[in-house]
Amino acid sequence: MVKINKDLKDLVIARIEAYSDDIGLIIGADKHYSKSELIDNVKNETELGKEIIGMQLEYLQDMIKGNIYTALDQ
Amino acid sequence: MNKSILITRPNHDLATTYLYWWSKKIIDKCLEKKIKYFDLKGKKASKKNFDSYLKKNNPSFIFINGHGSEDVVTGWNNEILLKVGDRLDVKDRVIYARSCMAGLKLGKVCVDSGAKTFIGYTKNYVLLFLTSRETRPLTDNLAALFLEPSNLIPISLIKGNTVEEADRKSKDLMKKNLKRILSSDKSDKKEVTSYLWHDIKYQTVIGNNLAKI
Repeated sequence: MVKINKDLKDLVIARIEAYSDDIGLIIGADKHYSKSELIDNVKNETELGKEIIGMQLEYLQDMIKGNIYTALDQ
Repeated sequence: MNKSILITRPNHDLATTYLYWWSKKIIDKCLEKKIKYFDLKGKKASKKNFDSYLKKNNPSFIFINGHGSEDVVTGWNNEILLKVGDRLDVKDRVIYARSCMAGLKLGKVCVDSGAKTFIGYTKNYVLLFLTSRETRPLTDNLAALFLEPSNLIPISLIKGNTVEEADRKSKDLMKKNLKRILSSDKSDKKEVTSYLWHDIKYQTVIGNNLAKI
C-alpha cells in the first residue's frame, strides 16, 4: 500500500478546512460529501481521501509548472 | 437519422438530482430551437425505455446524465444503459455522457461500434455544491460554475456547432470561471479552482470532432 506523505496530507486538510462550511462535493457513484466528511476521508486515507489528495496534488503541480496559466491564456 | 435528442436524467440521489434539474435547461433550449427531444426523466430512465426510444426514434444525439465507470453509464437506480461488451445501438450518433470515467473505455468502444463521437470524462466528473441549496439545485451558484459549462456541450450541438466547437466552448467557460476566481482577491470561491481544473483537464472527445448532430 502506498503511504501518503504526512505533509501533503496536512496541506490538503488545511486547504479543505478553508472551505466554507456549507460546501459539499459530488464525486463518483451516488456519493456526495460534506466538508467534514472530506476531511475525515483524507485523514483516514480512504479511497476517496486518496483521490482528493491526488486531485489537489495534481492541481498544485500544474499550478507550479505553469500549466494552468498557459491553458487559461489559450 | 432524425436531428433529435434522447436525454436520460434520473434523480434517485443528490448527484443525479443536480444533473436532472440542470438538464432541464437543455429541454428548454430544444423547445426554443424546435428540436425534437425525448426526455427519459426520473424512473423513465430505464434500460428498457432507453433501448426502445433508440430503436423507435433513432435520435442523432444521446445525452446521458447519470453515474458511470470506465465500462458503463447508468440510468434510474444505477441500472446500466450502455456497457462495454454489450451490443451498443449507437451507430452514427453523437453521445455526451455527463458521468464519471466513461471516456476512458466505454467511449472508445462506442466509437468502435459506429458512434460518430463520444464526449465524456476520463476520470470522475466532480462538482461542488452548496448544502444550503441542495433542495433547489438551479439556484446553486456554486454548482453553476461546473454545470453551466457542461450544459454548453448539448446547447452548442443543438445550435449546429461541431463537437469540437461544443467542447471548446464548454472548456472556455470553465476557464473563464477559473480565471475570474484566481484573479480575484476577494473571491469566496477559491475552493472551486482545483475541481474546475480537474473537469477541464479530463473532459475528452473520442471519434470525429467535426461531427454535428
